[in-house]
Amino acid sequence: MPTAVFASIPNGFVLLGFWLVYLLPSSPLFQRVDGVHAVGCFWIMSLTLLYFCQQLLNGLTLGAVYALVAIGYTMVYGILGMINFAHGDIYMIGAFLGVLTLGVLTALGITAPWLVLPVMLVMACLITAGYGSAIERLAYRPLRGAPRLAPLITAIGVSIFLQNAVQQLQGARVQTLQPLFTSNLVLWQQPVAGQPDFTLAIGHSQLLIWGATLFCLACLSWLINRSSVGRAQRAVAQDLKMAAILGVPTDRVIGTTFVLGSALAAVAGVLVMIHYGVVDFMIGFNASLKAFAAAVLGGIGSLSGAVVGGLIIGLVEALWAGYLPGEYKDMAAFSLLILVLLVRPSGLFGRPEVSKV
Amino acid sequence: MLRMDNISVHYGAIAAVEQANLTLAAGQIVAVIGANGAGKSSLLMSLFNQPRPVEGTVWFEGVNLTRLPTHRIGRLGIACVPEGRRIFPRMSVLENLQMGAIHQPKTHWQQDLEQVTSLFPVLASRLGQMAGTLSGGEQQMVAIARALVARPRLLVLDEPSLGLAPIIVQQIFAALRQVNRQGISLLLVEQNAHLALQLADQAYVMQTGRMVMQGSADSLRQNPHVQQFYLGMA
Repeated sequence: MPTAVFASIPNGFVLLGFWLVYLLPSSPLFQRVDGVHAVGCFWIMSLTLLYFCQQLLNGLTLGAVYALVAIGYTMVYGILGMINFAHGDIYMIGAFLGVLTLGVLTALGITAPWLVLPVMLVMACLITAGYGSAIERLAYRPLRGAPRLAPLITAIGVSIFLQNAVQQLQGARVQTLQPLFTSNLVLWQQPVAGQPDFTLAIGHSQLLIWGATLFCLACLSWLINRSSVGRAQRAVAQDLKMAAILGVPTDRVIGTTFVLGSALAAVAGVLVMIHYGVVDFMIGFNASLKAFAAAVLGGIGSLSGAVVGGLIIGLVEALWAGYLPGEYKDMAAFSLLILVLLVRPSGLFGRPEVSKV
Repeated sequence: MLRMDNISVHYGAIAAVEQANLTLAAGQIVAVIGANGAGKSSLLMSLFNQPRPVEGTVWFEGVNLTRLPTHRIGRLGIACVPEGRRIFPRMSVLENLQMGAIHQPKTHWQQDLEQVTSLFPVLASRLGQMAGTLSGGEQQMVAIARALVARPRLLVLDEPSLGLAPIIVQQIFAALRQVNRQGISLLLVEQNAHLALQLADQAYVMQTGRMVMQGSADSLRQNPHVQQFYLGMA
Protein backbone atom coordinates (compact mmCIF):
# COMPACT_ATOMS: atom_id res chain seq x y z
CA MET A 1 0.00 0.00 0.00
CA PRO A 2 2.33 2.85 1.05
CA THR A 3 5.62 1.75 -0.47
CA ALA A 4 5.60 3.27 -3.90
CA VAL A 5 4.70 6.89 -3.58
CA PHE A 6 6.58 7.74 -0.41
CA ALA A 7 9.71 7.07 -2.35
CA SER A 8 8.64 9.33 -5.17
CA ILE A 9 7.90 12.41 -3.05
CA PRO A 10 11.53 13.54 -2.92
CA ASN A 11 11.62 13.27 -6.71
CA GLY A 12 8.73 15.69 -6.84
CA PHE A 13 10.65 18.19 -4.77
CA VAL A 14 13.70 17.80 -6.97
CA LEU A 15 11.58 18.48 -10.04
CA LEU A 16 10.03 21.54 -8.41
CA GLY A 17 13.51 22.82 -7.56
CA PHE A 18 14.68 22.26 -11.12
CA TRP A 19 11.69 24.16 -12.40
CA LEU A 20 12.24 27.08 -10.03
CA VAL A 21 15.98 27.39 -10.66
CA TYR A 22 16.41 26.67 -14.36
CA LEU A 23 13.16 27.10 -16.22
CA LEU A 24 11.41 29.93 -14.45
CA PRO A 25 14.08 32.63 -14.97
CA SER A 26 13.64 32.36 -18.73
CA SER A 27 9.88 32.79 -18.53
CA PRO A 28 8.11 36.11 -19.16
CA LEU A 29 7.26 36.35 -15.46
CA PHE A 30 10.77 37.72 -14.98
CA GLN A 31 11.99 41.05 -16.20
CA ARG A 32 15.61 41.55 -16.95
CA VAL A 33 16.96 44.67 -15.27
CA ASP A 34 20.73 44.56 -15.28
CA GLY A 35 22.78 45.60 -12.28
CA VAL A 36 19.98 47.06 -10.17
CA HIS A 37 19.13 44.55 -7.54
CA ALA A 38 20.72 44.44 -4.10
CA VAL A 39 20.80 40.67 -3.87
CA GLY A 40 23.33 40.70 -6.65
CA CYS A 41 21.19 38.75 -9.01
CA PHE A 42 20.38 40.38 -12.28
CA TRP A 43 17.03 38.70 -12.58
CA ILE A 44 14.33 40.61 -10.81
CA MET A 45 11.18 38.72 -10.04
CA SER A 46 7.96 40.31 -10.97
CA LEU A 47 5.63 41.08 -8.08
CA THR A 48 3.07 38.72 -9.53
CA LEU A 49 5.44 35.83 -9.20
CA LEU A 50 6.62 36.82 -5.73
CA TYR A 51 3.04 36.99 -4.53
CA PHE A 52 2.36 33.59 -6.07
CA CYS A 53 5.41 32.11 -4.35
CA GLN A 54 4.29 33.49 -1.03
CA GLN A 55 0.91 31.80 -1.47
CA LEU A 56 2.65 28.57 -2.40
CA LEU A 57 4.70 28.66 0.79
CA ASN A 58 1.58 29.32 2.86
CA GLY A 59 -0.26 26.54 1.08
CA LEU A 60 2.53 24.04 1.70
CA THR A 61 2.42 24.90 5.40
CA LEU A 62 -1.30 24.39 5.62
CA GLY A 63 -1.02 21.25 3.50
CA ALA A 64 1.63 19.74 5.76
CA VAL A 65 -0.74 20.07 8.70
CA TYR A 66 -3.64 18.54 6.79
CA ALA A 67 -1.37 15.72 5.69
CA LEU A 68 -0.42 14.87 9.28
CA VAL A 69 -4.07 14.73 10.32
CA ALA A 70 -5.18 12.91 7.17
CA ILE A 71 -2.73 10.08 7.86
CA GLY A 72 -4.66 9.26 11.03
CA TYR A 73 -7.89 8.98 9.06
CA THR A 74 -6.41 6.85 6.34
CA MET A 75 -4.56 4.45 8.68
CA VAL A 76 -7.67 3.70 10.71
CA TYR A 77 -9.76 3.32 7.57
CA GLY A 78 -7.15 1.01 6.07
CA ILE A 79 -7.40 -1.36 9.01
CA LEU A 80 -10.96 -1.08 10.29
CA GLY A 81 -12.82 0.31 7.29
CA MET A 82 -14.29 3.02 9.50
CA ILE A 83 -13.99 6.81 9.46
CA ASN A 84 -12.85 7.96 12.88
CA PHE A 85 -14.61 11.31 12.99
CA ALA A 86 -13.21 11.96 16.46
CA HIS A 87 -9.76 12.27 14.94
CA GLY A 88 -10.11 16.03 14.34
CA ASP A 89 -10.86 16.50 18.02
CA ILE A 90 -7.80 14.48 18.91
CA TYR A 91 -5.89 17.09 16.95
CA MET A 92 -7.66 19.85 18.91
CA ILE A 93 -6.74 18.14 22.19
CA GLY A 94 -3.14 17.96 21.00
CA ALA A 95 -3.18 21.73 20.46
CA PHE A 96 -4.65 22.34 23.92
CA LEU A 97 -2.11 20.06 25.56
CA GLY A 98 0.55 22.13 23.81
CA VAL A 99 -0.93 25.29 25.32
CA LEU A 100 -1.10 23.73 28.77
CA THR A 101 2.49 22.50 28.60
CA LEU A 102 3.59 25.93 27.43
CA GLY A 103 1.75 27.51 30.36
CA VAL A 104 3.33 25.17 32.88
CA LEU A 105 6.81 25.68 31.43
CA THR A 106 6.39 29.45 31.40
CA ALA A 107 5.24 29.36 35.01
CA LEU A 108 8.38 27.39 35.82
CA GLY A 109 10.42 30.09 34.13
CA ILE A 110 11.49 27.93 31.19
CA THR A 111 11.12 29.95 28.02
CA ALA A 112 13.98 28.92 25.72
CA PRO A 113 12.22 27.78 22.52
CA TRP A 114 14.67 24.96 21.84
CA LEU A 115 13.69 23.43 25.18
CA VAL A 116 10.01 24.40 25.29
CA LEU A 117 9.20 23.06 21.85
CA PRO A 118 10.36 19.44 22.25
CA VAL A 119 8.75 19.23 25.67
CA MET A 120 5.47 20.51 24.23
CA LEU A 121 5.58 18.07 21.35
CA VAL A 122 6.47 15.08 23.49
CA MET A 123 3.87 15.84 26.16
CA ALA A 124 1.15 16.45 23.58
CA CYS A 125 2.06 13.28 21.67
CA LEU A 126 2.14 11.05 24.74
CA ILE A 127 -1.10 12.24 26.30
CA THR A 128 -2.96 12.45 23.00
CA ALA A 129 -1.81 8.96 22.09
CA GLY A 130 -3.34 7.86 25.39
CA TYR A 131 -6.60 9.53 24.41
CA GLY A 132 -6.57 7.82 21.03
CA SER A 133 -5.95 4.41 22.45
CA ALA A 134 -8.57 4.91 25.18
CA ILE A 135 -11.17 5.97 22.62
CA GLU A 136 -10.44 2.88 20.56
CA ARG A 137 -10.69 0.61 23.55
CA LEU A 138 -13.80 2.11 25.10
CA ALA A 139 -15.82 3.25 22.11
CA TYR A 140 -14.78 1.22 19.06
CA ARG A 141 -13.50 -2.15 20.25
CA PRO A 142 -16.86 -3.24 21.71
CA LEU A 143 -18.37 -2.59 18.28
CA ARG A 144 -15.93 -4.76 16.38
CA GLY A 145 -18.00 -6.94 14.06
CA ALA A 146 -21.03 -4.68 14.34
CA PRO A 147 -22.57 -3.22 11.16
CA ARG A 148 -20.43 -0.43 9.70
CA LEU A 149 -22.84 2.32 10.64
CA ALA A 150 -22.53 1.70 14.38
CA PRO A 151 -18.86 2.71 14.83
CA LEU A 152 -19.41 5.65 12.47
CA ILE A 153 -22.19 7.08 14.61
CA THR A 154 -20.14 6.32 17.70
CA ALA A 155 -17.24 8.28 16.24
CA ILE A 156 -19.46 11.30 15.72
CA GLY A 157 -20.64 10.90 19.31
CA VAL A 158 -17.08 10.74 20.61
CA SER A 159 -16.28 13.86 18.59
CA ILE A 160 -19.15 15.81 20.15
CA PHE A 161 -18.19 14.50 23.58
CA LEU A 162 -14.58 15.64 23.24
CA GLN A 163 -15.58 19.08 21.96
CA ASN A 164 -17.92 19.63 24.86
CA ALA A 165 -15.51 18.23 27.40
CA VAL A 166 -12.79 20.64 26.28
CA GLN A 167 -15.29 23.49 26.18
CA GLN A 168 -16.26 22.75 29.79
CA LEU A 169 -12.70 22.33 31.00
CA GLN A 170 -10.94 25.06 29.04
CA GLY A 171 -13.73 27.53 28.37
CA ALA A 172 -15.41 28.44 25.12
CA ARG A 173 -13.31 31.49 24.42
CA VAL A 174 -10.50 31.54 21.90
CA GLN A 175 -7.16 31.15 23.62
CA THR A 176 -4.39 33.27 22.25
CA LEU A 177 -0.78 32.91 23.14
CA GLN A 178 2.48 34.68 22.58
CA PRO A 179 4.11 33.40 19.43
CA LEU A 180 7.19 31.32 20.16
CA PHE A 181 8.84 32.23 16.88
CA THR A 182 8.40 35.70 15.47
CA SER A 183 11.37 35.89 13.13
CA ASN A 184 11.29 35.23 9.42
CA LEU A 185 13.70 33.91 6.90
CA VAL A 186 13.69 36.51 4.12
CA LEU A 187 14.08 34.83 0.76
CA TRP A 188 13.72 37.84 -1.49
CA GLN A 189 13.31 41.56 -1.06
CA GLN A 190 11.79 43.41 -3.96
CA PRO A 191 11.79 47.21 -4.05
CA VAL A 192 8.48 48.65 -5.20
CA ALA A 193 8.36 52.24 -6.44
CA GLY A 194 6.75 54.52 -3.85
CA GLN A 195 5.80 51.65 -1.50
CA PRO A 196 7.45 49.48 1.13
CA ASP A 197 9.48 46.61 -0.27
CA PHE A 198 7.69 43.38 -1.05
CA THR A 199 9.33 40.57 0.88
CA LEU A 200 9.05 36.90 0.19
CA ALA A 201 9.59 35.29 3.55
CA ILE A 202 9.19 32.01 5.38
CA GLY A 203 8.32 32.24 9.04
CA HIS A 204 10.53 30.17 11.31
CA SER A 205 7.37 28.50 12.55
CA GLN A 206 6.62 27.50 8.96
CA LEU A 207 10.06 25.99 8.61
CA LEU A 208 9.39 24.15 11.83
CA ILE A 209 6.11 22.76 10.45
CA TRP A 210 7.83 21.52 7.30
CA GLY A 211 10.75 20.04 9.20
CA ALA A 212 8.55 18.31 11.74
CA THR A 213 6.21 16.99 9.04
CA LEU A 214 9.07 15.60 6.97
CA PHE A 215 10.60 14.03 10.06
CA CYS A 216 7.29 12.43 11.08
CA LEU A 217 6.63 11.16 7.56
CA ALA A 218 10.11 9.67 7.32
CA CYS A 219 9.69 7.91 10.68
CA LEU A 220 6.23 6.67 9.77
CA SER A 221 7.36 5.45 6.38
CA TRP A 222 10.21 3.51 7.98
CA LEU A 223 7.91 2.11 10.63
CA ILE A 224 5.22 0.95 8.21
CA ASN A 225 7.47 -0.38 5.47
CA ARG A 226 10.50 -1.70 7.30
CA SER A 227 9.67 -2.62 10.89
CA SER A 228 7.92 -5.75 12.05
CA VAL A 229 5.23 -3.66 13.76
CA GLY A 230 4.44 -2.04 10.42
CA ARG A 231 4.46 -5.38 8.66
CA ALA A 232 1.90 -6.70 11.12
CA GLN A 233 -0.10 -3.53 10.59
CA ARG A 234 -0.16 -3.96 6.83
CA ALA A 235 -1.08 -7.62 7.22
CA VAL A 236 -3.99 -6.73 9.49
CA ALA A 237 -5.11 -4.08 7.00
CA GLN A 238 -5.08 -6.61 4.16
CA ASP A 239 -6.71 -9.53 5.96
CA LEU A 240 -7.52 -9.11 9.63
CA LYS A 241 -8.80 -12.63 10.28
CA MET A 242 -5.91 -14.31 8.51
CA ALA A 243 -3.44 -12.21 10.47
CA ALA A 244 -5.13 -13.37 13.68
CA ILE A 245 -4.90 -17.01 12.58
CA LEU A 246 -1.15 -16.53 12.04
CA GLY A 247 -0.89 -15.33 15.62
CA VAL A 248 -0.94 -11.56 15.21
CA PRO A 249 -2.58 -9.93 18.25
CA THR A 250 -4.95 -7.89 16.08
CA ASP A 251 -6.44 -5.80 18.88
CA ARG A 252 -3.01 -4.64 19.92
CA VAL A 253 -2.10 -3.79 16.32
CA ILE A 254 -5.30 -1.76 15.96
CA GLY A 255 -4.50 0.00 19.23
CA THR A 256 -1.04 0.86 17.91
CA THR A 257 -2.63 2.36 14.82
CA PHE A 258 -4.74 4.67 16.94
CA VAL A 259 -1.70 5.60 19.03
CA LEU A 260 0.33 6.47 15.92
CA GLY A 261 -2.45 8.44 14.26
CA SER A 262 -3.19 10.37 17.44
CA ALA A 263 0.46 11.23 18.01
CA LEU A 264 0.72 12.62 14.48
CA ALA A 265 -2.47 14.64 14.99
CA ALA A 266 -0.99 16.00 18.24
CA VAL A 267 2.14 17.11 16.38
CA ALA A 268 -0.10 18.88 13.85
CA GLY A 269 -2.14 20.49 16.62
CA VAL A 270 0.90 21.82 18.48
CA LEU A 271 2.48 23.11 15.28
CA VAL A 272 -0.67 24.93 14.20
CA MET A 273 -1.06 26.41 17.64
CA ILE A 274 2.54 27.70 17.49
CA HIS A 275 2.11 29.05 13.96
CA TYR A 276 -1.25 30.79 14.28
CA GLY A 277 -1.17 31.48 18.01
CA VAL A 278 -4.89 30.84 18.53
CA VAL A 279 -6.77 27.75 19.61
CA ASP A 280 -10.34 26.96 20.66
CA PHE A 281 -12.40 23.84 21.20
CA MET A 282 -13.90 23.94 17.71
CA ILE A 283 -10.67 23.91 15.64
CA GLY A 284 -10.96 20.14 15.35
CA PHE A 285 -14.19 20.38 13.36
CA ASN A 286 -12.83 22.31 10.41
CA ALA A 287 -9.50 20.49 10.46
CA SER A 288 -11.23 17.13 10.52
CA LEU A 289 -13.37 18.01 7.49
CA LYS A 290 -10.32 19.22 5.55
CA ALA A 291 -8.12 16.31 6.54
CA PHE A 292 -10.90 13.86 5.78
CA ALA A 293 -11.31 15.49 2.37
CA ALA A 294 -7.55 15.20 1.90
CA ALA A 295 -7.58 11.51 2.77
CA VAL A 296 -10.47 10.82 0.39
CA LEU A 297 -8.91 12.94 -2.36
CA GLY A 298 -5.67 10.99 -2.10
CA GLY A 299 -7.51 7.69 -1.93
CA ILE A 300 -8.54 6.61 1.55
CA GLY A 301 -6.45 3.77 2.88
CA SER A 302 -3.31 5.01 1.11
CA LEU A 303 -0.70 6.75 3.25
CA SER A 304 1.01 8.52 0.38
CA GLY A 305 -2.42 9.52 -0.89
CA ALA A 306 -3.15 11.21 2.44
CA VAL A 307 0.08 13.22 2.20
CA VAL A 308 -0.47 14.29 -1.39
CA GLY A 309 -4.16 14.97 -0.75
CA GLY A 310 -3.26 17.13 2.25
CA LEU A 311 -0.78 19.16 0.25
CA ILE A 312 -3.26 19.63 -2.61
CA ILE A 313 -6.05 20.79 -0.30
CA GLY A 314 -3.65 23.17 1.49
CA LEU A 315 -2.35 24.63 -1.77
CA VAL A 316 -5.81 25.06 -3.28
CA GLU A 317 -7.02 26.79 -0.16
CA ALA A 318 -4.05 29.15 0.06
CA LEU A 319 -4.05 30.01 -3.64
CA TRP A 320 -7.78 30.63 -3.62
CA ALA A 321 -7.48 32.85 -0.57
CA GLY A 322 -4.62 34.70 -2.26
CA TYR A 323 -6.43 35.55 -5.48
CA LEU A 324 -10.15 35.09 -5.01
CA PRO A 325 -12.66 35.94 -2.29
CA GLY A 326 -11.25 34.29 0.82
CA GLU A 327 -14.64 33.37 2.28
CA TYR A 328 -15.03 30.79 -0.45
CA LYS A 329 -11.74 28.97 0.09
CA ASP A 330 -13.43 26.02 1.80
CA MET A 331 -15.80 25.75 -1.11
CA ALA A 332 -12.81 25.58 -3.44
CA ALA A 333 -11.23 22.75 -1.47
CA PHE A 334 -14.40 20.67 -1.34
CA SER A 335 -15.31 21.38 -4.98
CA LEU A 336 -11.93 20.04 -5.98
CA LEU A 337 -12.65 16.93 -3.93
CA ILE A 338 -15.94 16.44 -5.76
CA LEU A 339 -14.31 16.97 -9.16
CA VAL A 340 -11.57 14.45 -8.47
CA LEU A 341 -14.04 11.89 -7.16
CA LEU A 342 -16.16 12.29 -10.30
CA VAL A 343 -13.18 11.26 -12.41
CA ARG A 344 -11.48 8.87 -9.98
CA PRO A 345 -14.04 7.57 -7.48
CA SER A 346 -11.37 5.84 -5.40
CA GLY A 347 -9.18 8.93 -5.12
CA LEU A 348 -5.77 9.67 -6.59
CA PHE A 349 -3.87 6.70 -5.10
CA GLY A 350 -6.77 4.54 -3.98
CA ARG A 351 -7.54 1.08 -5.21
CA PRO A 352 -11.05 0.47 -6.45
CA GLU A 353 -12.85 -1.55 -3.85
CA VAL A 354 -13.47 -5.09 -4.98
CA SER A 355 -16.07 -6.81 -2.89
CA LYS A 356 -15.83 -10.56 -3.02
CA VAL A 357 -18.89 -12.65 -2.53
CA MET B 1 -3.25 -34.81 19.53
CA LEU B 2 -6.44 -33.17 18.32
CA ARG B 3 -9.89 -34.08 19.46
CA MET B 4 -13.06 -32.27 18.42
CA ASP B 5 -15.98 -33.28 20.61
CA ASN B 6 -19.55 -32.61 19.61
CA ILE B 7 -18.79 -29.45 17.66
CA SER B 8 -21.64 -27.31 16.34
CA VAL B 9 -21.06 -24.17 14.32
CA HIS B 10 -23.86 -21.76 13.50
CA TYR B 11 -23.96 -18.67 11.31
CA GLY B 12 -26.89 -16.80 12.75
CA ALA B 13 -29.85 -19.11 12.38
CA ILE B 14 -28.06 -21.40 9.94
CA ALA B 15 -26.40 -24.48 11.36
CA ALA B 16 -23.28 -25.26 9.31
CA VAL B 17 -21.91 -28.05 11.51
CA GLU B 18 -23.91 -30.14 13.91
CA GLN B 19 -22.35 -32.23 16.65
CA ALA B 20 -19.33 -33.35 14.72
CA ASN B 21 -16.58 -35.46 16.26
CA LEU B 22 -13.07 -35.87 14.95
CA THR B 23 -9.84 -37.23 16.32
CA LEU B 24 -6.33 -37.04 14.97
CA ALA B 25 -3.33 -38.85 16.40
CA ALA B 26 0.14 -37.34 16.20
CA GLY B 27 1.83 -37.93 12.85
CA GLN B 28 -1.38 -38.85 11.06
CA ILE B 29 -2.95 -37.42 7.95
CA VAL B 30 -6.69 -37.06 8.40
CA ALA B 31 -8.96 -36.01 5.56
CA VAL B 32 -12.49 -34.68 5.73
CA ILE B 33 -14.31 -35.13 2.45
CA GLY B 34 -17.77 -34.04 1.46
CA ALA B 35 -19.71 -32.03 -1.07
CA ASN B 36 -19.72 -28.28 -1.41
CA GLY B 37 -21.52 -26.76 1.58
CA ALA B 38 -21.30 -29.85 3.76
CA GLY B 39 -19.69 -27.83 6.56
CA LYS B 40 -16.09 -28.96 6.12
CA SER B 41 -14.58 -25.49 6.08
CA SER B 42 -16.71 -24.33 8.97
CA LEU B 43 -15.52 -27.29 11.01
CA LEU B 44 -11.94 -26.48 10.18
CA MET B 45 -12.17 -22.77 10.92
CA SER B 46 -13.89 -23.52 14.22
CA LEU B 47 -10.47 -24.78 15.34
CA PHE B 48 -9.44 -21.12 15.29
CA ASN B 49 -12.75 -19.90 16.71
CA GLN B 50 -13.61 -18.26 13.39
CA PRO B 51 -16.44 -18.40 14.27
CA ARG B 52 -16.43 -19.92 17.75
CA PRO B 53 -18.41 -23.19 17.94
CA VAL B 54 -21.72 -22.78 19.75
CA GLU B 55 -21.25 -26.10 21.48
CA GLY B 56 -18.58 -28.72 21.93
CA THR B 57 -14.91 -28.55 22.79
CA VAL B 58 -11.70 -28.74 20.82
CA TRP B 59 -8.71 -30.27 22.57
CA PHE B 60 -5.26 -29.77 21.14
CA GLU B 61 -2.45 -31.42 23.11
CA GLY B 62 -4.52 -31.08 26.25
CA VAL B 63 -5.48 -27.42 25.72
CA ASN B 64 -9.11 -26.44 25.26
CA LEU B 65 -9.06 -24.17 22.23
CA THR B 66 -12.66 -22.97 22.34
CA ARG B 67 -11.91 -20.46 25.08
CA LEU B 68 -8.85 -18.91 23.48
CA PRO B 69 -8.74 -15.83 21.24
CA THR B 70 -7.80 -16.64 17.64
CA HIS B 71 -4.28 -15.22 17.76
CA ARG B 72 -3.33 -17.39 20.75
CA ILE B 73 -4.31 -20.59 18.93
CA GLY B 74 -1.86 -19.82 16.12
CA ARG B 75 0.92 -19.79 18.70
CA LEU B 76 0.16 -23.23 20.12
CA GLY B 77 1.54 -25.15 17.15
CA ILE B 78 -1.38 -25.22 14.73
CA ALA B 79 -0.91 -23.52 11.38
CA CYS B 80 -3.52 -23.02 8.73
CA VAL B 81 -3.60 -22.93 4.94
CA PRO B 82 -7.07 -21.50 4.47
CA GLU B 83 -9.49 -21.80 1.61
CA GLY B 84 -8.62 -19.32 -1.12
CA ARG B 85 -5.04 -19.16 0.26
CA ARG B 86 -5.51 -15.71 1.79
CA ILE B 87 -1.94 -14.64 1.35
CA PHE B 88 -1.32 -10.91 1.80
CA PRO B 89 -1.45 -9.77 -1.85
CA ARG B 90 0.25 -6.40 -1.44
CA MET B 91 3.18 -7.73 0.52
CA SER B 92 6.22 -9.44 -0.93
CA VAL B 93 6.56 -13.21 -0.72
CA LEU B 94 9.32 -12.75 1.85
CA GLU B 95 7.10 -10.53 3.99
CA ASN B 96 4.30 -13.08 3.76
CA LEU B 97 6.66 -15.72 5.08
CA GLN B 98 7.89 -13.39 7.81
CA MET B 99 4.27 -12.93 8.88
CA GLY B 100 4.00 -16.70 9.23
CA ALA B 101 7.02 -16.76 11.53
CA ILE B 102 5.84 -13.79 13.56
CA HIS B 103 5.91 -15.65 16.87
CA GLN B 104 9.10 -17.59 16.15
CA PRO B 105 12.49 -16.48 17.44
CA LYS B 106 14.75 -14.98 14.75
CA THR B 107 17.48 -17.53 15.51
CA HIS B 108 16.16 -20.27 13.26
CA TRP B 109 14.51 -18.01 10.67
CA GLN B 110 17.23 -18.48 8.03
CA GLN B 111 17.13 -22.24 8.45
CA ASP B 112 13.32 -22.34 8.14
CA LEU B 113 13.40 -20.11 5.09
CA GLU B 114 15.91 -22.42 3.41
CA GLN B 115 13.73 -25.38 4.26
CA VAL B 116 10.58 -24.02 2.66
CA THR B 117 12.44 -22.76 -0.40
CA SER B 118 13.92 -26.21 -0.87
CA LEU B 119 10.42 -27.67 -0.56
CA PHE B 120 9.13 -25.17 -3.15
CA PRO B 121 12.21 -24.12 -5.17
CA VAL B 122 10.17 -21.74 -7.33
CA LEU B 123 9.63 -19.47 -4.33
CA ALA B 124 13.36 -18.81 -3.92
CA SER B 125 13.39 -16.62 -7.02
CA ARG B 126 10.12 -14.90 -6.10
CA LEU B 127 10.92 -13.67 -2.61
CA GLY B 128 10.92 -9.99 -3.56
CA GLN B 129 7.80 -10.17 -5.71
CA MET B 130 4.39 -8.95 -4.56
CA ALA B 131 2.49 -12.07 -3.56
CA GLY B 132 -0.68 -10.94 -5.35
CA THR B 133 1.12 -11.08 -8.71
CA LEU B 134 1.98 -14.77 -8.42
CA SER B 135 0.10 -17.53 -10.21
CA GLY B 136 -2.50 -19.49 -8.27
CA GLY B 137 -0.22 -22.46 -7.73
CA GLU B 138 2.64 -20.27 -6.52
CA GLN B 139 0.25 -18.49 -4.18
CA GLN B 140 -0.78 -21.84 -2.75
CA MET B 141 2.88 -22.65 -2.21
CA VAL B 142 3.35 -19.32 -0.41
CA ALA B 143 0.37 -20.12 1.79
CA ILE B 144 1.79 -23.54 2.69
CA ALA B 145 5.29 -22.14 3.22
CA ARG B 146 3.87 -19.36 5.38
CA ALA B 147 2.20 -21.98 7.55
CA LEU B 148 5.34 -24.15 7.75
CA VAL B 149 7.70 -21.40 8.94
CA ALA B 150 5.49 -21.19 12.04
CA ARG B 151 6.97 -24.65 12.90
CA PRO B 152 3.55 -26.23 13.47
CA ARG B 153 2.98 -29.72 14.83
CA LEU B 154 -0.42 -29.74 13.13
CA LEU B 155 -0.97 -28.28 9.68
CA VAL B 156 -4.56 -27.64 8.71
CA LEU B 157 -5.37 -27.31 5.01
CA ASP B 158 -8.63 -26.22 3.44
CA GLU B 159 -9.05 -27.29 -0.19
CA PRO B 160 -5.40 -27.00 -1.23
CA SER B 161 -6.23 -28.37 -4.68
CA LEU B 162 -8.98 -25.89 -5.46
CA GLY B 163 -8.64 -24.12 -8.79
CA LEU B 164 -5.17 -25.46 -9.58
CA ALA B 165 -3.85 -27.27 -12.64
CA PRO B 166 -3.49 -31.06 -12.11
CA ILE B 167 0.29 -30.93 -12.42
CA ILE B 168 0.54 -28.27 -9.71
CA VAL B 169 -1.82 -30.27 -7.53
CA GLN B 170 0.51 -33.28 -7.88
CA GLN B 171 3.46 -31.12 -6.82
CA ILE B 172 1.64 -29.73 -3.84
CA PHE B 173 0.39 -33.10 -2.63
CA ALA B 174 3.89 -34.52 -3.02
CA ALA B 175 5.17 -31.65 -0.88
CA LEU B 176 2.47 -32.34 1.72
CA ARG B 177 3.53 -35.98 1.94
CA GLN B 178 7.10 -34.82 2.48
CA VAL B 179 5.94 -32.43 5.20
CA ASN B 180 4.14 -35.26 6.92
CA ARG B 181 7.26 -37.42 6.80
CA GLN B 182 9.01 -34.73 8.82
CA GLY B 183 6.56 -35.48 11.61
CA ILE B 184 3.93 -32.81 11.05
CA SER B 185 0.34 -34.04 11.31
CA LEU B 186 -2.05 -32.94 8.61
CA LEU B 187 -5.74 -32.23 8.77
CA LEU B 188 -7.03 -31.87 5.25
CA VAL B 189 -10.40 -30.78 3.97
CA GLU B 190 -11.03 -31.66 0.32
CA GLN B 191 -13.82 -31.89 -2.18
CA ASN B 192 -11.50 -33.91 -4.35
CA ALA B 193 -12.03 -37.25 -2.60
CA HIS B 194 -9.65 -39.14 -4.89
CA LEU B 195 -6.71 -37.03 -3.92
CA ALA B 196 -7.64 -36.83 -0.27
CA LEU B 197 -8.13 -40.58 0.18
CA GLN B 198 -4.83 -41.28 -1.57
CA LEU B 199 -2.94 -39.09 0.84
CA ALA B 200 -4.79 -39.69 4.10
CA ASP B 201 -4.48 -42.36 6.77
CA GLN B 202 -7.89 -41.69 8.30
CA ALA B 203 -10.88 -40.03 6.70
CA TYR B 204 -14.25 -38.63 7.60
CA VAL B 205 -17.22 -38.01 5.32
CA MET B 206 -19.35 -34.99 6.02
CA GLN B 207 -22.83 -34.39 4.74
CA THR B 208 -25.07 -31.41 5.51
CA GLY B 209 -23.20 -30.53 8.67
CA ARG B 210 -22.93 -34.02 10.11
CA MET B 211 -20.22 -36.67 10.12
CA VAL B 212 -21.84 -39.58 8.31
CA MET B 213 -18.88 -41.96 7.95
CA GLN B 214 -15.40 -42.45 9.25
CA GLY B 215 -12.66 -44.98 8.97
CA SER B 216 -9.29 -45.64 7.44
CA ALA B 217 -8.81 -44.08 4.03
CA ASP B 218 -8.48 -47.54 2.48
CA SER B 219 -11.73 -48.80 3.92
CA LEU B 220 -13.56 -45.71 2.74
CA ARG B 221 -12.13 -46.13 -0.73
CA GLN B 222 -13.66 -49.61 -0.81
CA ASN B 223 -17.01 -48.41 0.54
CA PRO B 224 -19.71 -48.58 -2.16
CA HIS B 225 -21.47 -45.45 -0.94
CA VAL B 226 -18.27 -43.42 -1.06
CA GLN B 227 -17.41 -44.91 -4.44
CA GLN B 228 -20.78 -43.94 -5.82
CA PHE B 229 -21.15 -40.44 -4.42
CA TYR B 230 -17.61 -39.17 -3.87
CA LEU B 231 -15.35 -41.11 -6.18
CA GLY B 232 -17.73 -41.05 -9.13
CA MET B 233 -17.69 -44.82 -9.71
CA ALA B 234 -20.83 -46.54 -10.89
